Amino acid sequence: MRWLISTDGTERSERAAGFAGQFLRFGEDQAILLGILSDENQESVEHSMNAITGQITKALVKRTTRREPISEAIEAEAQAEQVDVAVYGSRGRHGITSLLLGSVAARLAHDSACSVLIVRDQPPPVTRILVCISLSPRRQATIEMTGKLAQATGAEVVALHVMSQLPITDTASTSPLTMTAEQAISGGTVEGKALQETVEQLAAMGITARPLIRHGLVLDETLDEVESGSYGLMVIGAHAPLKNIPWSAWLMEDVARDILLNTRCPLMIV
Amino acid sequence: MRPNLLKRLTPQMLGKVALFVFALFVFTFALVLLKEGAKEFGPFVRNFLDVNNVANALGFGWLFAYAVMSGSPVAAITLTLLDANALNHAEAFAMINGSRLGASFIVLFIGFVYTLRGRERKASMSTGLLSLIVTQTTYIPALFLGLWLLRMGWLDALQLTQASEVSSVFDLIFDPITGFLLGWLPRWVIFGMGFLALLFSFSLLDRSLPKVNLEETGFSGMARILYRPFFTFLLGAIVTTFTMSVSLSVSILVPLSVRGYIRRENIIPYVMGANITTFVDTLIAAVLLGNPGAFTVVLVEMLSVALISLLIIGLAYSPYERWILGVVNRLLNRPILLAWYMFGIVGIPIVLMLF
Repeated sequence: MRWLISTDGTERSERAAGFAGQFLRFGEDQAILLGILSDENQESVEHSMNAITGQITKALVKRTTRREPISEAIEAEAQAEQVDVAVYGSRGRHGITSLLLGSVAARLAHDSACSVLIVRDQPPPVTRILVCISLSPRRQATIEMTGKLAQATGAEVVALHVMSQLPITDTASTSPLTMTAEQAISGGTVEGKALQETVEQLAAMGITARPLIRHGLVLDETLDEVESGSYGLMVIGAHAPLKNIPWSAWLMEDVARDILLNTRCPLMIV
Repeated sequence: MRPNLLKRLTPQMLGKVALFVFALFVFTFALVLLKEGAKEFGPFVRNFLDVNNVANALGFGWLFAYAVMSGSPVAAITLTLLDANALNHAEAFAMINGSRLGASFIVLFIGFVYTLRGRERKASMSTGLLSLIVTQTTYIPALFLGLWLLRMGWLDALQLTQASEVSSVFDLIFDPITGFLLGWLPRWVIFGMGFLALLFSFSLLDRSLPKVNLEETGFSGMARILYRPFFTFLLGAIVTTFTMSVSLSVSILVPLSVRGYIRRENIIPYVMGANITTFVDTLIAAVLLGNPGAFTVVLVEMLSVALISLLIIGLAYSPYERWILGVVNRLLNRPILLAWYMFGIVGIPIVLMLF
């Protein structure tokens, strides 16, 4: 995989780079280091790039700088270098501040053509990854990415599917709405099959994965799981418009953005 | 009409159009009969049933909707009582508000009957209970907002009246019939006939309205995709403009889900939107009655419910959603709480009637 690691000279950029460093596999991954310059930060960017170079030497293939707003610089470089993952150390604005000032992380997550790894705080080494599974065929990319990250760190994976459905007809069966992952798999429900495929796909990559179903609102259950499960990384699919539905990007809820704005856990948006 | 448009009109469609016109005719006739009958039924409501303030008008509309298992006929009757000066604007507003609170009960009641027959409680009652609580939590604040708006009189000038030619045609057709009936029958019988004609017109309207098909629209993935609340709110409002009934609008969602499920996130704003345009038939009744006050009352009802719903969606949607789902969950998991809740929604309108 090709990684784009960027720094604007801040401490959080270095933290993010250090965090991303644990996923870089010598000989398999390539890293591009991007310094994002402004009028005030030239010295700190240079200093930060040197520090990060020390952390990712084994995979570093290019060092470059751009003088553009952060999200534009990352997007342009990611596109030019055809990277698979862009890493960003987020300040962690949310709520009103994010509405007023905008969130670079949210913009990247929404607009970027590649996957985005958002890191806040000082995360511990990754030993456990939470991957959120939808029933869409697009989940394959999310599972594949999770597999690669788990391979690099030796982390175990929990595959989560949240069921927020309610019965709308009086003939609808409610049992799938209360099933555990194990019951759903043995009962062969749609959710059970998706989780079983996920576990098998990850097992084929040599990774131990445990399926999990939670029932409730998608956002609440996902955040609750990541808060309570001591995860080092969460992997989710991006909010992407559906081809057959016009205006779907506007009609659909952006769960990826909502999760991003409400969690401190490092987040990979595929 | 262009020839290619004519070609597309199937006999079935023409039949629906004819049925719709006939339904409107019966609806108008029912209103004329109710208007005449209300002159005697009005004093009965005011003196015998003692409906003479906002609280007991609310209770009366609520219980009346339980009795007829629908809100629309009660709302239409309320307008004829207003027209006959048996109710003032505030009382009519409260009675219409009560009619909607009572109308939602039928979905829950059907679910309860299914439960007694051995169906799983959650399967039978979840959506009904959710609709009912969404209605209660929006209509009760809307009651206070609407009463205030009525008192301010800001919307009095906003009127929609039927063309004088139309009212002349109606007068030409219905005046001789009502004149004949009034010569032979007491007014309370005419009121009863009007009531039956009204119920008949609603059943005709149900059959004549076009089938709304969401399967070929951007909302076909309702069961699996999470939509923004504002869009499902609009969808509920648009669909109900055509179906005029909240329960019919919710049933339109059924074919979208193979397994008969819908996402929690999508159903709440959909019901909120449906709760506004379900007044379209009452608004038409107000225009047909030609009473500006009646039109204002219905308009204020729609506006106040819309304002409360938009405030919730815009400012506090997530906490509201969590709270509603938490309440539904607790009620479904604890039969004793559900029993108290059902006892409450029957008992409260009875208590209101005592004021």
